[in-house]
Amino acid sequence: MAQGILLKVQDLRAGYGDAAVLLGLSLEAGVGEVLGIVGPNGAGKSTLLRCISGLLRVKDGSILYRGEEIRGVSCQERTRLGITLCLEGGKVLPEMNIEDNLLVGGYLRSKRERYDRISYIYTLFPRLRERRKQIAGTLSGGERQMVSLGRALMSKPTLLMLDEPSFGLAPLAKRAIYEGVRRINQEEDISVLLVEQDAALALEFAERGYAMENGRVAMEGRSYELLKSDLFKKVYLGV
Amino acid sequence: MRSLEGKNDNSVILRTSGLTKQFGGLVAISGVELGVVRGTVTGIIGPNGSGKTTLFNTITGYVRPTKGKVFFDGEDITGLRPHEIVSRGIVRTFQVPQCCRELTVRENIRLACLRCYHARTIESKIDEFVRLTGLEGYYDSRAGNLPIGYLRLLEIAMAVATQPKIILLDEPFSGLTDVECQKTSELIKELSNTATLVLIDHKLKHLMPLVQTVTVLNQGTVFFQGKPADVSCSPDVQRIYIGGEIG
Repeated sequence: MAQGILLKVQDLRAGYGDAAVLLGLSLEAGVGEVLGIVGPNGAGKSTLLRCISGLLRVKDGSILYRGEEIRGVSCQERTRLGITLCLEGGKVLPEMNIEDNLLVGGYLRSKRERYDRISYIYTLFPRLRERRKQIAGTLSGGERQMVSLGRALMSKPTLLMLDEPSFGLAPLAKRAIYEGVRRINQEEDISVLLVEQDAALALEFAERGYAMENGRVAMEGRSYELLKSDLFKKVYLGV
Repeated sequence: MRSLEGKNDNSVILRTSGLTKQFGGLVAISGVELGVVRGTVTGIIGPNGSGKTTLFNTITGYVRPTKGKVFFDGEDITGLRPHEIVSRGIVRTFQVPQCCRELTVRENIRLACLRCYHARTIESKIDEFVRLTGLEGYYDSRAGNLPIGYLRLLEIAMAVATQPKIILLDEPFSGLTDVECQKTSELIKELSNTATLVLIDHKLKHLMPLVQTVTVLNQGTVFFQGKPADVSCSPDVQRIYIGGEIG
C-alpha cells in the first residue's frame, strides 16, 4: 500500500462545450499505487485523464498533486512534474520510426538520459529493439501500443495514466503490455491510473478500483472486494 | 443457415485469391485464400500484426494488393477505388472509428445516406438507423465529443446507410465494456439478417457465438480455418494466439 497520497482529485467538474461530463468526481491515488478506473462508455473516464494531464480545462473542483493545486499549471509543466498520459488507441507519429517516436517522449531529458531510457524501454519490450528503424505507421496494433507506452515512459513519470492499454490487442499482446506496466510499477515505484473498459482485467491488475457512472464515482474499494460484490458484477461485468 | 459444403460459385459472395500485400520489405499478407458464403457470419482472428486489417484494406480498396485478386459477386473488383467498392455493396468499419468529428451524429448519418436515399426519405431513414443502433440520445452531439463506444455505433449506422450486401467490421467490440459488448452482439445478429458479415475481433467470448466459420491469420497467411468449436480446440491456435487464455 502507498506511503503517501500522490494525487487527490476533489469534486471535479468538466465537459465539452455545453455537455457536462464530470459532475463532481473525487478520487485519490497513493505513491506507487495502481488504480483501476472502470465504467461504461460516456462515464467520463477519458475526460478525467484529460483533466489531470491538463489537456482539458477544468470547470470546477481541484486537482492536488503532491499536495499542490495544479489546475492552473500547463500541460507541458505537468509533464515536467512527472504526470504523463498515454492516449487511447496506440497513437504514434506514423511517418517516424520507432526509435524517433520514443525520443520525442524524452524531450525533457538530456541526450544521454534519453538513450539510457530507450535501452530500459527496449528491455521491457524487446520487440521494439528488433524493429527500431521501422516506420511506426506500418506497425501492428500491439506494436503501436508498445511504442505509445514506451514514449510515455521516456519522461520517467511519477504518475502514469493509461487510457485503455488493451485496446485492440490480441491475448498475447495484451499480456506483454500488462507485464511491461507491472515491471515499471515495481521497478520504478510509478503510480498508475489505469482506465479500462474491461473491468475484470483492470481490477485483476490494480490494487484498488473506482467504478464511474455518469461523471461520478459510483463504487470504490479494494479490487478483490469489488470483484466479489454482486452489484459490481452485475453492473460492470454483466454477469 | 447454409453450410460450407457443396458450395457453388453463387453461394460465395466474396473471394480472395492469392491475395498478397507488401509494404517495402514487410510482407503484411501473403497468398490469402478466403471464401465468404452468402448470408453467413465469418470471424477473422489472429495475433496483432498477422494481417487482419490489411486483408480488409486490400478487399475494400484502401490499399492496392501487390499480387492476387478480389472477387465480389463473381466480378473481379481488384484495384477499384474505395467508393466504387462501396457502390458494389461492400462496406467496412474501422478499428479506430472514422467519422467526421466536427459533424453531429445526425449529420454523419445523413452524409452516409446521400448515396442511396432520396432527399424526401433521408430524414426518416436517419431516424431508422439511429433507432437501430440505439443512438437516440445523441442526435445532435458532435461526433468528436462522443466516447469510442458510441462512435462504433455511429460507424455501424453509417455503414448500414449504404445498403450493403456485405459488412466488414474491424473490431466492433474493442473499447466496449462486457455489458456494451452484449448489446453490440444483439445489433450484429440483427445486421446478419440483411447482410453477410465478416468480423475481426480479439474478444472471442463475444465473437465466437456469432460466427459460423473462423479464419485464423498468422504472419500474413491463413493458419487455420474451421468452425468456432474446432478453433477453440486447436492446440496450434492456442499456442500462437491465445496463450492459454480464453476470451
